[in-house]
Formats: sequence, C-alpha cells, structure tokens
Amino acid sequence: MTTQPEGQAIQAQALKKSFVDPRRGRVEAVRGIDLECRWGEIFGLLGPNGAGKTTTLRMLSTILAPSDGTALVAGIDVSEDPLEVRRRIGFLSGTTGLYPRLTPRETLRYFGQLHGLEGDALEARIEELIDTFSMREYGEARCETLSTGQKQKVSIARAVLHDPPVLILDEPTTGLDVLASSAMIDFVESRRAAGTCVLFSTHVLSEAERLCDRIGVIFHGRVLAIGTLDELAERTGKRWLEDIFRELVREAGESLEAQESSAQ
Amino acid sequence: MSRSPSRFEIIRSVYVTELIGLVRDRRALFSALVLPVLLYPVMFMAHGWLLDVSKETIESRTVRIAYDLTQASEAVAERILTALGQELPIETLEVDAAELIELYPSIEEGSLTAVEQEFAEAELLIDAGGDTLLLAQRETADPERVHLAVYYDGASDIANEARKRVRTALANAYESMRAERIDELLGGDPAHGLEVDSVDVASEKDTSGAFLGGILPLIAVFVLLSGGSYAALTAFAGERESGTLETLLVQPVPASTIVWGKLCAVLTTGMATLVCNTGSLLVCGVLGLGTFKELVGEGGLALSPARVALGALVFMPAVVLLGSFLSLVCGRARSFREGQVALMPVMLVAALPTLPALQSDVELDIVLGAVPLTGPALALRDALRGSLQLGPALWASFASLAWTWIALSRLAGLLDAERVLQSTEGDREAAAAKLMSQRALFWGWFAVLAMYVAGQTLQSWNMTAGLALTLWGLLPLLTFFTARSIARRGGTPWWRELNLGLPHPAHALAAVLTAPLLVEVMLPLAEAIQTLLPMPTRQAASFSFLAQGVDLGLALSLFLFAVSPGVTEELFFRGAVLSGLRRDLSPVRCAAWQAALFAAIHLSIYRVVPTALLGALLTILTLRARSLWPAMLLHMTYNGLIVYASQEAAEGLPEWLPWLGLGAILWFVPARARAASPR
Repeated sequence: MTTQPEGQAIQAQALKKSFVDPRRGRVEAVRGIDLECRWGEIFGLLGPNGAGKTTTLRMLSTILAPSDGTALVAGIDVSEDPLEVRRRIGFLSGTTGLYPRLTPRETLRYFGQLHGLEGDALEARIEELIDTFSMREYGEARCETLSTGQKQKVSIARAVLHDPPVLILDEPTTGLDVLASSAMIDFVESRRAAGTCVLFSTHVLSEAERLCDRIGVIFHGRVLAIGTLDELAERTGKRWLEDIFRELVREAGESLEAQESSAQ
Repeated sequence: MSRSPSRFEIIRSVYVTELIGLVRDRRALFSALVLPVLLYPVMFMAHGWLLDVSKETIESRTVRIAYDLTQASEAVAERILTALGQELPIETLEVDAAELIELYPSIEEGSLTAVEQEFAEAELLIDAGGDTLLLAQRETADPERVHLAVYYDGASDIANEARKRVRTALANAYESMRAERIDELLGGDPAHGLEVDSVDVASEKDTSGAFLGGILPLIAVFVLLSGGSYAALTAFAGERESGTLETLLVQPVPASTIVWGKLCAVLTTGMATLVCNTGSLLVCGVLGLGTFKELVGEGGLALSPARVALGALVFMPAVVLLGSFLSLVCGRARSFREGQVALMPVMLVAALPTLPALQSDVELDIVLGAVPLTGPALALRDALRGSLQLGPALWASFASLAWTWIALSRLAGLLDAERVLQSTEGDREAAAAKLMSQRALFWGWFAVLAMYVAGQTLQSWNMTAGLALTLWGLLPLLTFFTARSIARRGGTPWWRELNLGLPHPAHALAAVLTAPLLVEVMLPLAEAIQTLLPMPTRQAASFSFLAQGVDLGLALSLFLFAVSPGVTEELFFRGAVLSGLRRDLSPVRCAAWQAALFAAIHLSIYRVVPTALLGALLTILTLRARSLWPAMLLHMTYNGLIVYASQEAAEGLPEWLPWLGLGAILWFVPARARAASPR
C-alpha cells in the first residue's frame, strides 16, 4: 500500500493550454479545466474527439506545460517541480509503444533505472511484476514478438514499476481485444483497492460506467459536468451514461453554436 | 520512493538501451560493421584481378592493321612495318587509304563505328573488331616529312591498347631512324653523355601519407554519415515512430539528458563504422591488395601509426559535429522514412566541405579552419602527410567544437514535448500537407530540368518559335501535371489549385502601378551585378536579343516577352507550385523556394539575383492577395516596361511613375484579401 500525502491526489484549477500551429494559427486546446481527484478514486474523463482530454492528461503528467492555471498532483505543482510530479505518477496511453528489440525484463530494467531504482531492489521489483502480470513465459522474448495483450501487460508493469500513488491513463484500452481490455480493467480496480488515484480517459462508456467513482465530461476544452453516475443522471434526466454523455455534449454544442453566431 | 538518478546514470542507461537496440538489428550491424571488413579486401582483390586479366587479354590479342604507306619512301615504310612487327602480334593488310577515305568519308570525320562497319562492308578485313586500325600517311607540303594518321575506335579498350602499342612502335622506329641520321650527319649524338635520372626523395611514409590524406577525409565523412545516420534515425525518428517517446518524456529525468545518452549511442555507432571501414581499407592498402598495387606500387601503403593516431585525434571534433548534426536532422523527423528523406541531401551537402582536402595545395588557414568539416578534413590530411601545424590544427579543432556546441545547444531542445507532441496533433493532415508541398517542389525542380533540356533544345533550333513553344506548350503542360498531382491529394479539382479567384481591386491596380518602381530598382541592380560579375559577350548578345526583340516588332516582343511569361510562368509558379508549397510551408519559406526555383529556371547565373527577387516578390503578392491575377499583372507590366525601355526609339519613363508605385504599395498593403478566395 502506497502512503499518500495529505489533500487531494489531483487538483486542477482554471487549467488552460493554447499553442500556435503553423497552419491553424493559435489553437486553444484546453480553455479552463477545474477538477479534483481523490485518493483511492477512479475518475473517468469523457469527451468527444478534440475535446481536450489528452492535452489535459498531458499537462497533469507534466509532459506539456500549462499556458495558464494551476495543477497539483500529489500535492506538487506540475509547473514548479515537474520531475517530482513524474516520480509520483504512472502514465500510460493507448498509443504507448515499447522498444521492439528489448525484452520485457530489459524494458522494466531501463525504466526502473530512469526512476533511480538499482541493484537487488530493482531486480526484485521486476520479478514481482513479472509474477503479478504473469509475464514469466515471455519475459526474455523481444517485445516485437509479443501479442497486443502481452505488450499491454508490459506497458502496465512499466507504468507501475516505481509504485506511483497516482495513475494517469489516456485511453488505455484503445486497440485492445476483449481479454486484454478486461485485464486492464482488473488492474485499474486493483489499484483503487491499493489506495491509488486513477485518472483515465476513455471512449468506451461501458468501461467508465463499470469502473468510475466519478466522471467528468469535457467538451471544447471546458468541463461540462462532474459527478457520480447518479448525480449526472439526475442532472440530465437520463439513465444510461451514453444518453447522459450525448445530452451534455448536445447542449454544449448548441450553446457554442449560438455563441459563435452571435459573435459573427 | 525512488532516489534521483545522477545525470551520468541516466546517460548510461539511455546509451546502453540504444546500443542494445542497434546491436540487435542484425541487418544494420552486418551492413555497418561486418560487411566493410569483408567487402574492402574482396572488392580490391577482385578489381586487381580483373585489371590483371584484362591487361593480359589485351596484350595477347593480335592487332589487325590496315596500312597505306605509299606516300612514304620504301625505306621508311619498311622500317615502320619492321618496328610494328617487333612490337606487336599483328596482321597487316595494305590498302589504298585515299580511296577508302573517299569512299567512306566518315573515316576522315572520325566516326569510328562507321570505320569498322565500312571496313566490314568493303570486305577489306573479314573481322572488323575493335582491334582494327587504319594506319595511313597523309600528304604533307614537305616531302621529307612523314605524317602518319592512325584511325582507331576510342570506345574500345583493345583498340586503345593497340593504338598505344602502334605509337610505341612508331616512336621506336622514329628514334632509331633519327639516331642513324644524326650519326650519319654528325658522326655521333652531340647530346650523348647527358643522362637525366629522377630521384624521389620522399619517404614511403610521406608518399603513402600524401595519397591517403587526399582521399581519407572524404571517405571518413561518407562512412560516418552512413553509419551514424542509421543510429540517429533509430534513436530519434524511430523513438517517435514506435510511440515510446511520450513514455520517455514522462520519466523523472530531464529531456536534455536523454538526448545526451542518445547522442553518445550515435557517436559510438558512427565511430565503430568508421573504425571498421577505414581499418579494413588501410589493411588492404598496407597489404597492397589488388587495386592498391596499381595505385601505390607493389609494396602497398607504408603507414605511420603516429600519423594515423594524430589524424584520428584532429578529426575527432568532426566526428562529434557530424553526430550532432545527424541527430539534429533525424530528431526533427516524424518518422523513420521522413528522416531518411531529410538525410539524403544532407549527406551530399555534408561531403562538400571535405573536397578542399583533395587539393594538395589548399592550406589549412584561419578561414578554412573555421569552416565546419573543412578544418578537420584539412587537419587530417596534413597529419597523414606529416605536415600538420599545431596552430592551425588547434584553431580548426576549436572552431569545430564551437560548431558542435551550437549544434548541441539546438539538440538539447530536440525532445521538447511542446514541439514534439503538438506536431503530432493532426499528424495525418500534416503529413498530407507535407506531401503536397514535396510534390510541388518536385515539379518545380522537374520544370527547371525540363527547361534545361527541352527548352534549350527548342530555343537553339529557333529562338522565337522555341520560346513560344516553351512558354505555351511545355509550361502549361507542367502546370497541369503539377496542379493535378497536388489536387489529387487534396481531393479538389485541379484548376482550383491555380489560385484564379478574383482579387481585391486594390491589389490588382497596385500590382500594375508597382511595376515602374520595380523597374527603377531592378535596372540599377542589374548594372551593379554586371560590374561585379560581367556577362560574357555571347550571353549578353542573347540577352539583348531577348530584351529588345530584334526583328520582332514591339507588339510581338511584348506578347512574347511580357504577356506570355506573365501568364504561363505565373500559372506554373505562383499558381500550381505555390498552391502545394503553402500547404506546409510558412510564407517566408514559400518565397525562398519560389525565389530559388524562379532564379534556376531562367538558366543564367548572371540573372540569379533579379529573378530570385522577382520570384519572391510575386510570391508574397500572391499570398497577400490570395489570388494569382495581381502577380500576373505585375509580371506582365514589369516585363513589358523592360521591353519598351530597351527599344532604341523609346523615351524614358516619366519620373513620377515610380512614385506612383510607392503610393500603390502603401494602398495595397492594408487592403484585405477577398474572403471568397479559392481556399
């Protein structure tokens, strides 16, 4: 069990991100996100394509610097001390790849070394993870020869190698078959039991429905609603998450169109 | 909680991981390290063996000679034939050369294939192979003088060898006849007793060092580029392609430290390739294998280990610089393939600075020492020759390290997530835009080549008609293919790529009014360039013809030199090509490429600056107006004014006209382009 610091696991206030694209000019990917994730909670971030989910998760995992606003992860400001934040998070995305010519064991050793693990402690941790994720059979095979599910297991093991108190997962089940997705869901649930805060984005609403303690829906770089499934159902008057999601996005879309037409 | 690893530990981890990846790529390992070790000895031995075989074959061949020595005295003819017989295994046949040449005039013109064919047709020789020569005496005004012509097929190795042997035989005959004549007239050779011996005082090490110093810098750079580029591609572009970069960037280590680890792997691979390649090459040289026997003699190269070690030391900054440079190029690529495409021109350009080392009289001085790669290349050459001077060598190393520092400072930001990840947003769209811009550039340069080949041919046939055909036949065809190629990718009709939407009236009017100002600027510029780089008379005459439209009359001249290029060149450059370029490049880069293409297509180094400036200006105008029409109007008016001004009877332009252009620019700049532009 990881010892968590005081306060919220993740706190974001008025978080914004804009960048200049040579072709599209200034793009505002995130226009002010406020959210809080608690210890031992699974928080699902939902939104249509281009809503700003990935950019938000990248800011929280310190890969991108926020243009404005603040974000604390495990009590540490992502802008002030990104390296310390990185020590406390495990990050995994659906597009995450593995080094094709390294074995799972070498992959874990490499990332363990980057986290400052070494010697017997590192080797013991690698063995533990190999057992946990049943990777012994292919622990010495090159990653390029592994199946998608096996690769996903290696990626998950890599993300939790340093036992992070916060997990940030960006569409972790994208491209996985039913069995591999199921393994991922089991893993996320096991982390909740260990007190880890899990923030994850997904397009698979059934996953969110099953896993999440709370859900945040974002659209056009802004949070539309945050709450438990029941709270969101009450707010929208819909029963199923898919209907809730559609209703929230439809309302926001209409409101946005009205704003744009009045601006013109 | 884990501890913070030190910078050294991070670099070591990244370095080892990269090396494991490279070493496990068996094909790369084989081609970079194993193949050169095996290839060089096999290559040199095979080449040497082939040379020997070829020489022996040629020497054993019987040479057939058809001769006509009727103009020579009997004694001379006999001496020549005797000398030939002593020198060669020959078959001779006496012919009447005059008759033969009259019958087949191509022999006199030197058409060698025809010589053989016609020999065969005339049945003078049954086998008219490449070893057939016709030896004939030409008539001379001086009856005492013997003037022989040897007709041979220069494209045939055997005929060339036969010619050499014939010349040796004739020289021997001449020498012996001359000696006899001198003896007869003077009772002995007055120069007898004077013998000249040339003694090479250079040591074998110096000779070998001079030979190696000439070729090794160029080879070393090529080898480093080929070996290091694969490592750089794998370490940087490959990381992005395999999707591991985002994971790496979320680790608690600075991105710049990761870059250092990767750079070390690139340098190690480059060095290993260099050592294997040059090591194998030098061993072949020392053993005098095959070709080396021809190049440096039977003994092979005499290498000085001290000189080689010193050479390696002074060349080291170049290794680091090249490694950093390769990493910089590959780090900007979004995929392995894109990196490969980016590296191709880099490899050619990077080899150029080493060319001065091929010239033995080029000295390593302050200026050349500061040029990237040139300094270390010259220092390596001098070290191998044993003539390295400490001061210039230190300066070259210092300058290289300074260049390396600049490259490294850029390299540190290579894995900047803001840049790397933002550029992946809409990657498909970006890749499509890039492809369209690459296609536009391809067609632009293809047009330059087509102009060199087809345009020049047409215009050399008939200047006026050729120019008209080039402008109204070749260019529209290229415009169509370029626009279609870009439109296919974008899924639009091809004519939409020509930017033919109507412009804002202010832009169109301003373009016409700006032309006189442009003429006022360009003419003094052209004069200044003429002073610095005078145009040869022949080209000036040709240019003058183009400008004045000699014998064409003003109307036809205006059509040919103003309206035609104004329409067709603009449709191609600012229409089709710019349409592709603007998809991926900034306006400044578009203008730069357009300037380069427009200058290149005008086929004259003396007009590079004005045409480049005009190309850039017309591009900016088109981008600003979002329409091709203003550029067409400006181009036509500008060319028209030049044609008019060059007419002998023409009066000068009114002095106020250029000022109108200045006003037009001020009017033009704030005017907004029409919203209903083509895109």
